[in-house]
Amino acid sequence: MINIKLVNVTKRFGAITAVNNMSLEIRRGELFTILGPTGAGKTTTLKLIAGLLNPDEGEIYFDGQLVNDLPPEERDVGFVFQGYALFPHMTVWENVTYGPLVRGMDPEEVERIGREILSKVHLLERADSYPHELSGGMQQRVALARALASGSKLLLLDEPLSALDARLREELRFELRNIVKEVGATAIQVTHDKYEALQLSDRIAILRKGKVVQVDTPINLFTKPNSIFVANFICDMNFLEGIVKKVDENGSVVELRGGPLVRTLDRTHRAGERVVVAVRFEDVEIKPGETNYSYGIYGRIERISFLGPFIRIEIILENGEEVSVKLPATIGYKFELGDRVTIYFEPSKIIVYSYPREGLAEELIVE
Amino acid sequence: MFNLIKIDVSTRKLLSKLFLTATLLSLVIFVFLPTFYLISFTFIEWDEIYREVFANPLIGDEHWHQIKGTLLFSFRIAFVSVLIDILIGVPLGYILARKQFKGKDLVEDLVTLPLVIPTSAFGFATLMTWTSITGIGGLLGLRKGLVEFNYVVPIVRIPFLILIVHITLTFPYVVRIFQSKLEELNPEFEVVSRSLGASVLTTFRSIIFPQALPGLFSGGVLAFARSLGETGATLVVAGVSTTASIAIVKWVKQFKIAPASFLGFLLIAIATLLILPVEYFMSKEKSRTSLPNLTEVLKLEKYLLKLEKLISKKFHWVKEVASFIFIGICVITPIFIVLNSVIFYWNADPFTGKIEGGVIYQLFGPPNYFQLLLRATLVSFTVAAISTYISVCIGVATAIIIEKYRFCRVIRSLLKIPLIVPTSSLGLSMILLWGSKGFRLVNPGIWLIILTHIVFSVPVIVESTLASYEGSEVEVYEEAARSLGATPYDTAETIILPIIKRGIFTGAILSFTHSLGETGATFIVMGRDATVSTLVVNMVEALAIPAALFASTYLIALSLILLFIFRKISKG
Repeated sequence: MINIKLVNVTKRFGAITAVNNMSLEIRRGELFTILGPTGAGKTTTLKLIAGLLNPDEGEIYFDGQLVNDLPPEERDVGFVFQGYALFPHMTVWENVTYGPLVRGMDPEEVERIGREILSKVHLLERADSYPHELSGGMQQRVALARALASGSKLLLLDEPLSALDARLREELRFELRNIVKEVGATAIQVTHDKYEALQLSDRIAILRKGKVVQVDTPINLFTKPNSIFVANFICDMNFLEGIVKKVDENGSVVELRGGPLVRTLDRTHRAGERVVVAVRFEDVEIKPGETNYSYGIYGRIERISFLGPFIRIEIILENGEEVSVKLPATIGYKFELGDRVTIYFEPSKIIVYSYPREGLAEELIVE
Repeated sequence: MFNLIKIDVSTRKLLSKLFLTATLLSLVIFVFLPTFYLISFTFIEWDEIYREVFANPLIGDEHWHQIKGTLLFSFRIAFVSVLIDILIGVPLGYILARKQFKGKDLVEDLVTLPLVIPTSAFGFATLMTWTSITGIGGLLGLRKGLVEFNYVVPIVRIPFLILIVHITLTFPYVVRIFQSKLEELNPEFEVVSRSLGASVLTTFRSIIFPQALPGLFSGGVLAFARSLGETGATLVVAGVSTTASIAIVKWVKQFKIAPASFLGFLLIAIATLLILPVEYFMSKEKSRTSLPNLTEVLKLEKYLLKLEKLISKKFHWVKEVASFIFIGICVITPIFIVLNSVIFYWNADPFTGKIEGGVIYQLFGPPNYFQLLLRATLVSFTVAAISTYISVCIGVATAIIIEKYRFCRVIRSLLKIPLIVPTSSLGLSMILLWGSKGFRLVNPGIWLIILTHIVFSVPVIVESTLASYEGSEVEVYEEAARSLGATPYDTAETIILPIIKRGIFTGAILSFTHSLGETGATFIVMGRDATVSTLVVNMVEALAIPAALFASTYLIALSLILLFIFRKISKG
């Protein structure tokens, strides 16, 4: 178990800055996830930690010791690739014991480690199989076992589950977590699947354009996203532009484009400031017909998508903006295309952000 | 351009049958018959051959002894060459597959060069480099060549010049095939291995090498076959030594057809047998060549690991330096020396001062080599153009039927054989097939040269056409066109041909280059119509060194230009 520290790390590829002045601390024994859209610099960060790439600037510490100049084979990390990269010409046993062997351990020791690790991932009876004879899930566990067998206390997992089909992926999330916790390794995984990250991790770092936007526990990230980008990336949210009309002791009133008013509890923005109002799909209240609510907004149902347990209803508001609502299917089925409805935002469920400098549309790009 | 006239179904079927038959027939007549005629000839004329080779009333089985001797000699050369090829090819292939550096394109070109360079010119360039005063010896300030002409490398007992020529002409096969095998390998294997604690060299030994072994094997076999068949350069540097290919040339020139054809038969049979395992290995999707279990040899393993770690850390530059020195000495230097020597010899022999020994005198003076060179150029270009044209027609049709009909797949494997058949055997086979012992249609001369060049040009064009066919999704487009109402002929003309155009061009340039440089077979079938590359051999035999220098420079320059065009086209 070790702790990892990145201090002001920058990595460039030609004109592209893949990792930009990044500082990050991963605690001992933590299952840490680096989450971000494609091209955010996730894999680059992982490779920097593994020593497969060298930073242009900044320092990387393992347990307080500078490792910038250490080649990958001396950093003692286990790297698990997306496609596992199991050596095709070796059996499961040979794959798993490769690390201990090339590190020059004694045969008895190698034997012991191999047995121990393989029984941990429940693959001891498949020790003589070749990788291509195993199922995707088994291959994944062999890759994990191989990374653990060399005794490394730091596991780096590059999209470890993404090569599996959706069902298996969900099953293996817990297994992955259990194995990592059982051997007591520090693990850093990279993924672009937010559900995987939220379900699996102790803490998550959200990356955007090579920078860390927010580091927090899954629940905090979900309830208190610190920016429009994180909110949009982690939660399904509506974002509506507006201007703060007035601020009082109960909060503030925001005037949306075209006139509708929204009551919020936010008092951090001044009157006249340009803001973005964010509400989760599932937090939008919806009533049939045009009811005269205070702070209610009228609209018309534009699209209904059935998502199994949920129904997502998209509504065009009077002011032309679009709002999505997520309802349990048992309630949502009552609404029909073209229905006129009234929606209402509960003040305590609204998050107010300052209007982003680069524009709202730019903030909402996740690819 | 669209053929709007409706052809009814039965006519259409007849047409495609006709196309298939015509293509197969021309393949048999122009490619396979010449390749294998020597084999059937040997069986037909067995009595005569037996009498000449094994029971000659005058010399008994002297010819058989000579055949055995030359074959063993050729095998020794090929074996040693391939060993050295592998020593050079493995690091060089690894560098080309895994490293990015400035001038990599140039290095790749230099590796390809021996495959396109006219072998006689290259043989001569190597000869000058090592034995002439204007070669390395002169550059180092010695008053003689660096090595004696007939210097024999001890232990392996192979003349130095032959060995070096064979290594240089065959190592590209090993490098290229090993390289492409490495490029297919997932680089993540290496990353995983290193992160598990293996050094670069350990990773190479235990992960990369076992997986790339089939590539190395096929490269080695091709190099071996090529060395067995090498004629052009060997003719120039051989001196008194006789390899199997040279023996055929000599016997044909002495009209000793029986021993020549028996030896040719043996060479073709060996080449054919060699290509089979290659085809087998390359066709297997994933091979599981496992090295001895690591644990079993652990005692040694520990030292090995330490050694590999040390080398990976401290001596990793050795592979780069060694590779580049090899390319520098064996590929660049000969070319440079030839250019340099031409300038040296331009007006007169630089050492005796006699103008008879100068390039100008030999070209334009009484020897009048310029006239010969002009005529040879005309022959060379005519041969290259016509044989390439015919080969394109046959080759493209062949590529199409290979893609269309399952049973034609085997043609692709069969077409590998003409590429590695020793050229002198091929030349002999041509003479026998078309001349007095076969069809009695074509006498040695320009037409027989053309027919000979078609034999090895067709496979080249078929391969590159197929490569571009497979690289694009032609079949999908083809089906789309057919569903839109195009007839098979329209589809071929408007969809298939434009898509595979680049592959055809690439193949055409390659076969044109190959035709310009071919020496071994041409030497046998040319009669009085010498090509430029065979003229170089004649010049060397006549000791007209300055003229040979000029002709070699001229040929090397030509092949460099063609290589340049080839790159332009193949890179797009």
